[in-house]
Formats: sequence, C-alpha cells, structure tokens
Amino acid sequence: MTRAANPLIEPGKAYRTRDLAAWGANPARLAKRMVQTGQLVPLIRGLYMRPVASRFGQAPASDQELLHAFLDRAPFIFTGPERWNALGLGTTAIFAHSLVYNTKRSGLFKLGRRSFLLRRTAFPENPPREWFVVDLLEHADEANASRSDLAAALGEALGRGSFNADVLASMLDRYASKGTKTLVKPLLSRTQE
Amino acid sequence: MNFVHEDPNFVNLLGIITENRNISPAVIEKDYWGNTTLEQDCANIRAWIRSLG
Repeated sequence: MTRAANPLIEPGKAYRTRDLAAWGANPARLAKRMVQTGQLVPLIRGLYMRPVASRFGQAPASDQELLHAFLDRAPFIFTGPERWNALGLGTTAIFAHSLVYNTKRSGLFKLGRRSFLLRRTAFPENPPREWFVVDLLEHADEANASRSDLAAALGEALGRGSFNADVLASMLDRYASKGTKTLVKPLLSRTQE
Repeated sequence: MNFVHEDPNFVNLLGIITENRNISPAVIEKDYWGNTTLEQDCANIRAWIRSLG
C-alpha cells in the first residue's frame, strides 16, 4: 500500500490541502478522495477536518484546531461574550459567532457550520483576566452593556480583590483607548489608596 | 444525579449539536445551563411540596 493510500491523519485535527502533500504528489486529488471515503470533512476551500469518535458519535475538530489550521499556525486568541461574561461584571450577552483576534485576517468566516468573526489586532500572547476586562470595556456596546455600569462593577470587583490592580494598569497602558484609560484609572487609584 | 456536563465528552456533544443544528456552541451551552438550572429548581420545588405532606 502506498503512503497516499493510507495517510496518517489524526482524528480531531484540521488540515489544509498542502498539509496532505506529505502523503501524495497531488494533495488536492488526495483530499478529494478522502472526502469521498468519509475520512475528511470539507470546511471551506482548502481546509478539511477529521472527525473524532466520542460516546455521542462523530464529533468535529475543536474551534482551536480549526483556527490553528485556517490561520496557518499564526497566533490567535478567543475573546468575546463567553470570556467577558465569565469576568462577573454583569454582562450576559452572547454572539452567534466566536470572536477571534489574530495577526493575519479580518472578517466573518464560516468554517463548516461554525462561524468566526476574525479581527486583526494587537493582543497579548497569554492574556490575563485583566486584559479581557480592558477588551470588554473597549467593546461594551457589542456586549450590550453600558460603560458606566461596567466601571461601577469593576470598582466593586477591584475592592474585593477579584482583579490584580497592577496587571490591570499594565493592560490599560498597552491595550486601552484614551477613553477607557480615563474611565478606569480613577478606580485603580482608589484601590491603591 | 448525573449531569451531561460532567461527562468528559460534553465538549464533543456541543460540537456535534453545532454541526447538526447549525447553532453557535455558545448558544447551545447557554440553553443547556438555563434548562439544567430550571430543572433543578423544579426538582427542589417538587421536593418541598412533597415535604408539606
């Protein structure tokens, strides 16, 4: 059996057509054949995934895995309502698509049946919770929240010690707009008093 | 009582529903938690009514 006849693709992983070049001279034809045999599921032109078996049936590759392949291993992070709501600052809205900051692409992309809103913007590699606070304040309108309500909730959370004031100050300096800095800095000075 | 979210494959279940129903996993998970909480409240109310005799 040739290598192309039996490519070592892992369940739960996403692949670009060119990733299949390791198993055949014509990766596009190989991908087409693997789709026909049910080994790969096409997501978008040039991007495929291998479902993974679970006790609930064939499960798709994770969002993380899809984005990893789609963005060609470029850095990215998931943000948006799921992360914002977990901060405990009173927001409850959710989006119909996942919000992803990255260094390569902007726009709304549908990968299979999942949609991702990609934004090319600056973000820390391993964002602390305090960065998500800044991100939420910057996008309060998208989270259906008022900036003043968020500031009040943040003031209380800082008083309880829910966030690190020094880390928040550092995230503000690096990632916040002038408006957000003006809103949050008085809260920080109150905490540090 | 065992809950589906306690299953290590819960995340896979969310993925399967997302693929089959074309609904965001965040919406599915929020709906799940809403229903689970309501179900738990109903169970508590039923237990309270039973305790009244």
